[in-house]
Amino acid sequence: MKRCGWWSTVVIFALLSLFFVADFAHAEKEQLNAYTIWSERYANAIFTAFTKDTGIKVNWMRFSSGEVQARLEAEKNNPQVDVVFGNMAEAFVDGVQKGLFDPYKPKGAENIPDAFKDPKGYWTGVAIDPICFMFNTKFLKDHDLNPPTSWQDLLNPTYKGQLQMADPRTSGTGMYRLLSVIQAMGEDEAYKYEKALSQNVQVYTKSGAGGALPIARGQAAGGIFFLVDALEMQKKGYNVTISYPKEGVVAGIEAMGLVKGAKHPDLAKKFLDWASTERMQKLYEENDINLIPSNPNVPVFDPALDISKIKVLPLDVEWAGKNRDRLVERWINEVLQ
Amino acid sequence: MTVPIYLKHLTKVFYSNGTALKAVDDVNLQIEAGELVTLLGPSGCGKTTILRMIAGFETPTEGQVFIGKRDVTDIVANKRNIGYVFQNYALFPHMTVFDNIAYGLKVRKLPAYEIKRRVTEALQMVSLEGVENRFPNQLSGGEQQRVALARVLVIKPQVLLMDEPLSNLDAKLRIYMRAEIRQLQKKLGITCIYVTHDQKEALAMADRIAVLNEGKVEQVATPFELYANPASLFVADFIGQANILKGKASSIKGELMDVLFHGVTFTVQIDAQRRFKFNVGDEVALVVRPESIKLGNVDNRSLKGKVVSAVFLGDEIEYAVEITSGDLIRVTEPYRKDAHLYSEGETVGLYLDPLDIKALPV
Amino acid sequence: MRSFSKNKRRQKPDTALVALWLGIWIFLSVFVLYPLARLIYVVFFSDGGVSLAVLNKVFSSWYNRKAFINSLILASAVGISGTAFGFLFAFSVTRINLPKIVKWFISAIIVLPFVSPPFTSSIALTMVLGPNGLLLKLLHIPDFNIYGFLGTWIAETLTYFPVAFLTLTAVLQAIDPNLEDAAMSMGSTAWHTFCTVTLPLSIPGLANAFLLLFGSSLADFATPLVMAGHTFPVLPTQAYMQITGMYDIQGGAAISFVLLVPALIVYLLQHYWVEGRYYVTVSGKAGARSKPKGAGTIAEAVMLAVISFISLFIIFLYSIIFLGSLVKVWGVDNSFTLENYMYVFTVGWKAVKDTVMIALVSTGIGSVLGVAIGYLVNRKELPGRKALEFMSLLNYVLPGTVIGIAYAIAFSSGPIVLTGTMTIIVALCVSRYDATGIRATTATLKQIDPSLEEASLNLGASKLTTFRKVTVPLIAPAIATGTRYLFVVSMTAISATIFLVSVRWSLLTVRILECITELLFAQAAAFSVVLVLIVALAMWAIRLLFSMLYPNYFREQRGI
Repeated sequence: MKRCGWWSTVVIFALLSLFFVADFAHAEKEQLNAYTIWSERYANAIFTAFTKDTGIKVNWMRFSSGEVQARLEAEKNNPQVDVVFGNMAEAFVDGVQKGLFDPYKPKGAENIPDAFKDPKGYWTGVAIDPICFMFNTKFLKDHDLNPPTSWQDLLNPTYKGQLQMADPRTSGTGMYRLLSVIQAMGEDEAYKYEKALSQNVQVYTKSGAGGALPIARGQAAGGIFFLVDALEMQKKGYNVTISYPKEGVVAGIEAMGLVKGAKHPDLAKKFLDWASTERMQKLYEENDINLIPSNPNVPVFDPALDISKIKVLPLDVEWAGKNRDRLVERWINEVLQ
Repeated sequence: MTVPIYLKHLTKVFYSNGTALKAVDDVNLQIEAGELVTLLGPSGCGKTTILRMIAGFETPTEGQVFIGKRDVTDIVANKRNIGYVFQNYALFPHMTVFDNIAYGLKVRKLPAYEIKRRVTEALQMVSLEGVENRFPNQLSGGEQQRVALARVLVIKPQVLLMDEPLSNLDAKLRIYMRAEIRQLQKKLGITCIYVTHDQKEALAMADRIAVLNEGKVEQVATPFELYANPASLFVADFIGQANILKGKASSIKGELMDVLFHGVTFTVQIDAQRRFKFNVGDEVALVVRPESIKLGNVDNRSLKGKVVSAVFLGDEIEYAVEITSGDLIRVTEPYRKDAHLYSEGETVGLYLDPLDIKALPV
Repeated sequence: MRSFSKNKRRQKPDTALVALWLGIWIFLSVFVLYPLARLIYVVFFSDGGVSLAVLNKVFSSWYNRKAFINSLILASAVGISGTAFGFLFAFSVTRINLPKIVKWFISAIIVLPFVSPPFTSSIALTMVLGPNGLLLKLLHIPDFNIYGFLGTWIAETLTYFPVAFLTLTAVLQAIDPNLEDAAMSMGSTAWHTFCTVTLPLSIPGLANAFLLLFGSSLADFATPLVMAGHTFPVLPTQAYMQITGMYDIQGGAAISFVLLVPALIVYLLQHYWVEGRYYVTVSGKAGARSKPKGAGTIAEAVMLAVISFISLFIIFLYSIIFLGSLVKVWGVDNSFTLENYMYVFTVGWKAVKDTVMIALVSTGIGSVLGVAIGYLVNRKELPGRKALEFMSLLNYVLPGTVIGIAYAIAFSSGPIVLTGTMTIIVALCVSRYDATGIRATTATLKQIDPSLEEASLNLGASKLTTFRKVTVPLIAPAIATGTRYLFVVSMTAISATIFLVSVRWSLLTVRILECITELLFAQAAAFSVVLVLIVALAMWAIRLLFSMLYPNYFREQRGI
């Protein structure tokens, strides 16, 4: 009897440890792990091309900008991923302060202008993406409105409860909207403006592209987005109008970087090298990824991606990264109140 | 093979919330091979605990249990080969009658045909056939009782332990079943310990009865001996009905002792086995059975009393008589056609035959 | 007098049992106590000493204070409305002769919330009452905002009132209709009897249901995340936002810690105050029972109308989910398509696979562990039983957000690093959702006389054989209950697991949430439908498995 009990205990423990060993062994396989904030379709195109070119398999997960950052911080002592791809440059600045990244200057990054990469090599910009307005064309027509061309146009009471835009707490889009307004009118004015704007906001969405589809479908009148998401809607055939405020907008730099203590640094560096090539940025055009390449040598054919006619405000990425927490805190206290 | 059971200094202490409760206190008991001994006592006297220790469900705090010559104290319950019939029968509700009875045989890995043969045999033994495929809750109480019995008998145990097996049956069935169990036990010649709190059941079934009180054995004796010569006031009071009169020893001459009780002197015989020692002046309890008191007219040999109640029960008449000391005496007189019926309030004399009086120390 | 010091015997439990006991202690210490200790450490120890600085910081933010008050307001509102709905349904089922079709509706809407992902009603509600929603369009209400208190309240009430229904049905069934007969025989009308007898007798049950719902709403994470918007912050989502938005794990831990206090108070109230106050207990005796009495014709008609309306609305909501999964773009392009399911089986396939795997492993380990804990605690005199039982239920009692954050903190650094493994998710599911199985096992074991097991020993069976052949078959219904629950909840949980998903192990519910945050409702609906189908399939499989293993299981359940 006793022997029987012993054996079953031993068998159960053996099975359990086998399961755990299998679970951990699975973790050690030679595959690249990555976080991205790019949408499913974009990220899929890039990572698939990488696997095709190099034979290296990529496990990747998509989160909003804030979630990526929070995860990296939580996993600081045991990093789960090797690279972060596509997060906003200002998030990298914040991350560098917190010791989440290692510097690495990818081969091929020489052609990327200095404005779009970190001098120490903590992050390298892969794409540029300005903030824009996107409105449902039918809504504008029904209410006899022109597409807004000024930040002030959005305060029109016709839009009351009809705008959707991203929450700067979780979304890079939301943060860049805030930065655009700050750059356009100065910080204090900017918060007064956001407060006034919140009267017209139906919901602050968790992710940047969150409001795009409802606007395209007519569940909301319009909102503020990165150009990439707005163009995505337009190209899908939804009747939306894209416009820019005359006061100007900030363009986001979407960057990539090497995670500190990455378990597969060699694979990560291979990826960063690959992603700095013109070949990678050409994939945007091929896959209908509506981003502006950071490498000026990559030709852009789509007129919508020509930003020479809009007013792009300069942004000090270092300042934005270091002040992010303060700006968000202030937003909660002054706008949500 | 039938074997004796020997309990040696058996003691069980339960600890709960820091207090120790001695449920069984230094019990020594020898049960002969083939004998049926009843453990009798009020609830909480430790009788079931003794049985559970013999079966191996409880470990004794001290002492040993011998089955035959084997000390089984440290042997686990499932290796003792003892049959145990539970008060609630403990039939497995998810098994058919057949599977219930076959359970012990399957555990012993007997071949299927052998199991079938022995289950059928066991069911015949308890006169219960044709219910093999029913589930326990489809049987009556009496049938369940028989299945429980068959289930232990089928494993041919050396010893049979029964814990109030009949207490869940109605009165008529109880009387019927106790005769049947006794018969079966005699036929099989199996050593048996039978726990009950019902003295009639104990008297009817047992070769010997062990009366327990607060974890201790008060007396072990045949039913007759127990009734006739109780070894303690507890036994006297517990077995049958007894009137207890407390008097004083006025003189002792050899085996005879004079006891003075409210002006009347009773000369009683001191216990033949001289188990008790009396001195002049000691308080002595006189034990008198209700049926050994006669009622009549008052004279100087009798105790004077007043009838408080008279109940006619058919085969006998039961009186309660209040005597001058204030004690209430129970008297039963057998029914006779010409008997005199005393009525309530009537004054009567009570005649006690000295030979029927037991003197016990208080 | 013999001395007790010599020859003293102690029952020696066998070594296998002790090993198992130790194993369970280690498991619970590592996966229950340790994470909570780390959480408390993070909240109360900063700058090298005990300090309230972190909690102060949390409370100094007006937004967090608002979230705290909102949480309590929402929980009370859901508690009241859910209990009212629950009572209405329970009373109708137990006391009124309902038409068959209504009964069918009711059983459907009671089961649906249990087997569907937690934000199903939220998705449906948004599709119906959200911006440009179906009903709003039909009724021409242009200016209606579902996001905020109202939407959260409606969605949570619809999700949680079945819990109140089940609690109150048991209570109402236990009230002897003879009591109502007695009142009627003294000349009381049906309505008066209802007010003076039935309702007062149900008060402890109502209190219990209220507390249950209060606790569920307090801990609910998924619904407010979808429905509350920015105007109505609540604590669980606030803790999540603090971590994911502000990169502030310490702050998130502190917010979740604040959540822990009312949750524990509710649990203790429910456990020690309400449970002792039931006037009626189920005796199980089937005496002559009177026919159930209603509440008077008018009242009954009103009740029937109300429950029919609510039932229809809920069934409508769930049908919307199904329909929504089959159209291109809900409300805009309603042409039929299977695209959304293609999406689930291609892009979402990994999540489906991972979730099923995690649920299967959790269920396997959990049901064995649940039986072991239930059995050891109730049948064996081992040290620390009470403490062990309490520990085994702790993760279940506390809000998921708290546990999730505690796990994320505890297992990302320090001696045990499990981040990104399946083990961490499985451990969470097992330690959190095994409680139902343990409780069911405990309840069943208490009804089984130990003499059954003794009888088996006495007949020569070993302890293991006894356990296998007698104990397990008798508690099989409880094991089945626990197994089913564990599987379902492992599939549908999100509040705790959202903090633990990783590149390698993702979950269906998290994918659904992602779809919702990107407002891809059709895909979210398709995911939900697939999830419900998997759960239904698993429930059926578990039922089949148990009826094959223990053929008398169903017989026992019917209590012949």
